Amino acid sequence: MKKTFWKADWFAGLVISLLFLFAGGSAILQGLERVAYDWGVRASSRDAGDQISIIAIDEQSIANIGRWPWSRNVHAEMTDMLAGAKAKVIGNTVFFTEPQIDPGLAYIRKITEFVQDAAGQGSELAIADTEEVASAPVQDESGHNPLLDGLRTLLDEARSALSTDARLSHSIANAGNVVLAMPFVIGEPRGNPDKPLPEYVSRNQLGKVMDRVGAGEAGLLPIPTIGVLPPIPELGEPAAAIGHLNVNPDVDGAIRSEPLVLEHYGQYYPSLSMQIAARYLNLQPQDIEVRLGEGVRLGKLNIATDPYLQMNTFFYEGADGRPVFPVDSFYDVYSGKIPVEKYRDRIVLIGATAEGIGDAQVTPISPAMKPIETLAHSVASILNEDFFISPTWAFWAERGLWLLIALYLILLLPRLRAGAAATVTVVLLGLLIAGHFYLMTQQGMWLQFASPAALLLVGHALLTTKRFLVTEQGKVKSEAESAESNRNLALMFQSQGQLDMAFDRLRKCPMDDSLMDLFYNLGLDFERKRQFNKAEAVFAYMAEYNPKYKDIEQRLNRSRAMAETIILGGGSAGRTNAGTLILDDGTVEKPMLGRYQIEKELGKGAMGVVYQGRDPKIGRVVAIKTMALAQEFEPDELEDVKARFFREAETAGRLNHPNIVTMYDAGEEHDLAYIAMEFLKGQDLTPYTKPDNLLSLDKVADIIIKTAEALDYAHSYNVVHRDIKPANIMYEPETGNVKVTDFGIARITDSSRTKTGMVLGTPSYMSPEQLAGKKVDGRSDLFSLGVMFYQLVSGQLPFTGDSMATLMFKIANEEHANIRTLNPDVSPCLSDIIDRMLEKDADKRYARGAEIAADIRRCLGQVG
Amino acid sequence: MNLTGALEVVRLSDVGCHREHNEDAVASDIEIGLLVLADGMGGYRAGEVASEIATLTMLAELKEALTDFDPGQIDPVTGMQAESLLLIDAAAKANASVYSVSESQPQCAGMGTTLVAALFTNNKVLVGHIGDSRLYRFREGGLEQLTEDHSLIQEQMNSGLLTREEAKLSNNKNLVTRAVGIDPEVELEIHEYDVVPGDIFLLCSDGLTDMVDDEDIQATLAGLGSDLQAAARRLVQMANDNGGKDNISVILAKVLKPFAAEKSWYDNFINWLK
Repeated sequence: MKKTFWKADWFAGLVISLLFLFAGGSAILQGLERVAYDWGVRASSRDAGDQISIIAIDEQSIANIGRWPWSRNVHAEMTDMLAGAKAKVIGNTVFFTEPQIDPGLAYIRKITEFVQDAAGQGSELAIADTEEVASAPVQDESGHNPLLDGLRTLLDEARSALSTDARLSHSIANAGNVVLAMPFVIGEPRGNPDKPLPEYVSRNQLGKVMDRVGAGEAGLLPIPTIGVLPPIPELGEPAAAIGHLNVNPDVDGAIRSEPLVLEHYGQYYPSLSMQIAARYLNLQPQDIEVRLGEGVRLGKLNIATDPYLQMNTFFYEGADGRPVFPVDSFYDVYSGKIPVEKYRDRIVLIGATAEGIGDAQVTPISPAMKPIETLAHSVASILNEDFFISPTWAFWAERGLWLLIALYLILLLPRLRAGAAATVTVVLLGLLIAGHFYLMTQQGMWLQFASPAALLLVGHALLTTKRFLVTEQGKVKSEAESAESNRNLALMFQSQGQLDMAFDRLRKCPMDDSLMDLFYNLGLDFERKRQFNKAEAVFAYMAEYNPKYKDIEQRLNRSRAMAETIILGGGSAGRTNAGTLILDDGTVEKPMLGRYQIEKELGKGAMGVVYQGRDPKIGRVVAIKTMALAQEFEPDELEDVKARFFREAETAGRLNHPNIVTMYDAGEEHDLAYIAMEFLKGQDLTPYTKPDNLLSLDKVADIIIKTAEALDYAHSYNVVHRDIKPANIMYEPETGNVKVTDFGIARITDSSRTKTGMVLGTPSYMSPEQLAGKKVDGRSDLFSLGVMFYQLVSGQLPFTGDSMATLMFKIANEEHANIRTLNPDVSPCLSDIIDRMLEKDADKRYARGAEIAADIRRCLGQVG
Repeated sequence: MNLTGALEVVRLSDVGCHREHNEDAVASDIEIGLLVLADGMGGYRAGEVASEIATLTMLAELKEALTDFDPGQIDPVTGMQAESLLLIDAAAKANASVYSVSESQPQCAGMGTTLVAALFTNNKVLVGHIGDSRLYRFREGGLEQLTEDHSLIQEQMNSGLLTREEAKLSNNKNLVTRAVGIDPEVELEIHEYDVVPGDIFLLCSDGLTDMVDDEDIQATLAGLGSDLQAAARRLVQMANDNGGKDNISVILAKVLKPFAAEKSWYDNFINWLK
């Protein structure tokens, strides 16, 4: 709560709000307002009416009639045509500010003068008169030279044809409804005008000027001018009215408003559009009422404007893509292709659209609108009273909105949650936009809503960003504070062997160098526990902070290799050389399995690797058989298998016999089940099953006797081995020591040997009842012992088959070949024992191992 | 909400006269307004482990949960302060942590701990407890025990088998019926109380309450309430003087000023928006 105020959210809101208040007039915000205005204009739709037509001086016209500027005869003819068609008003936007003098006309005038001199004094006055008014009828005087008269007539004709100004003047006077345009020079007057405006211009000034709102004092006057370029008197005199054709582009250069009135040294002159509209309503300039600061009253039409008497023109959209005002090519009308009768009683606007003479303007509805069209929109706006106004209260409304948004940013937003804040902001923004469009389209009012909207958006973005950053900061701070307890917890968990929990806690602490030490120790602990994937995770996490810390790079790689080994190589099939290689690598922490240090790999058993290990507490060397149960079994049966495994291991652990390998311990670490047992020198009997490496009969008999006695002992404890075969009998040739290994655990996978196949190997030593899946007892082991006996004596298995199916069939149904056919040295007595051991029916076999041992001894006694 | 300045907190833990290890653990974080006290049990230092894990876990979890937490909200389902649920979650985490350690470490088997925690927020104190560590409130000269022990004695007293006087003489003083880390799950008993400035809250292990009568505690707080440091030392001293058979731990917290979560018309408006 002791935050300094300039860091507070409300202060940020205040600053951004004030910034927007003072930057309200800046180009960016005003540009934004203009964009909003243009959208509003485009969204509005009104009927433009059909009283206005445009005759465009387009490329086609110029191509056919001739280079611009045209002879004013052309204009004269067009004026005549339109007058003939009884157009209501003809507005011509072409400036006639300079006389058009044909080079030939000068010569005609000289010739006329010459003829005049030659004709003598009498007619001089008359000629002079006609010269002044070119269209005056040629006067005829009697008593002159007929040749000279003819020449004079010709000259008069030529003069009137070439004096285009005179011709046009005549047409304008004839039509009586032509409104002409003139440009004013805009500027602040410093003194008095050079000379008063000619009468034909000044008669257009607006007569009724009233100031009801004190606009004059407030300086809210129309745009001032310092000069004017009127049409030449010849054309200005006969024109019905003259209006200014000045535009006042907006801040961004676009045309949005029409200055209806310009001020010229205290006089007020109407725009061309207003003159045309007035003319259409049969009103004179004197009838137009100027209300300074408010607008213009045109007969019954009330045109509200901004304080500078500029009307925000309504721009009409044409329906179905057609232009809203019909535009005809000048040439088409001129050449009669378009019947001129269509202009009866209409306002006809003539203006240039061709490239180069009618430069396009930017307007709200179009980026390139020809000036003549803009004029048409203005005229229509006035006549339809369609325009946008900024009401006098707009300023206060805009300020009010600003205040509202500012208050929202300062007071409410900092207290809202992100979601609620976003909702409120979006709703406010929606209201602003909707209000803007409603006012524009329905009320024809323009309020500057874009600035408040921008303030809303920018303010919201700014505050949420700020809040996000500050929150992050706050998080970092409180993280550092809670780090202490997490760190202590981690150490506590680590000391209690809860490495996973320790890792979780440590990860919540912000990383620093002292923490790296803790992580490092944790990683080593994981390695010791052979949880290499976890160790890898720890080292990888450390490497993100500092990959060069101590030797973690090396450790990371090693852990990764080990993790893969442990995880993928649990079964012998998937084991890679890395398993051996890394264990030989002395730089690794001595891996631990349970309480045993793993010293080296001894070999690969059916279900996993066998290691030589050491119990560090008592220094006893042990053999550790591992079984990656998780890889051998589906998760759903894993629990069951584990339970069975430990049950069997427990049972087998109780066996204590000189010919049975002693089990010390069984355990499980991360899905690796293991059994620690007596470490034996020697090796198993597999090598002695090869025909060329057979042991002597005596030795074989001795082995079988010892094994049979071991089995007898085990069977008396109801422990069945289930997997008696040469590979499970350890034999030390020097001492003749025999040990049966893998009691109880060998066939732990009986139920699921389908999974990998490699567990199974071949069932060559299995008894028929075991193959059949029946419940087996000790006699099954004795059958297997018989198979082994047979093989050790003969070097061949009693039952063989190309496929598993044949093999199983033979074991179950076929008699084995008599052993004596394979090894004639075998006494008939021993042969009988083997035959009895290999009985298919368990009831006909020896019931106990002890009987076999006794029989063999007796046999040997007989022979020996 | 940051309660720095609204609370004054003093912690003190003493091994006592008879024990070799201090199996109590105390922790507090004034910024989030949390006080935690745990009394561990279990042989071979396991009690220390349990109480330490429990307090540290509570602290770490609540610190994390209360960052960016809007104070003063009511949980619509239970009608409790939303922070109460955080307290329950944190206690569950603590229980799980202790339990998993005791399960996997033979020397820690069977370890557990009592737990009493007070979380101050929005002019309230949320009191959660498991076991026989207590929380007292000292207000206007009177001492009131706000927690009811989860102990055999307490249950016997509740069912009318023992009177208060008999209970003091009972041999089964240390049998708790609920503890952290014994079972996979444990229920935190939680209550909410309003606080007023001037209140003093006392969290203590049974090492204090077994040795010192409530009347003496009340007298001590009445006399030394203006100096919490001295009051805490005095309480521990009294327990040791009376025999100090167990570890003695106390946390004293005095409310200096109100700490309501800001609630005004716009908060309501905001709540309405949500």
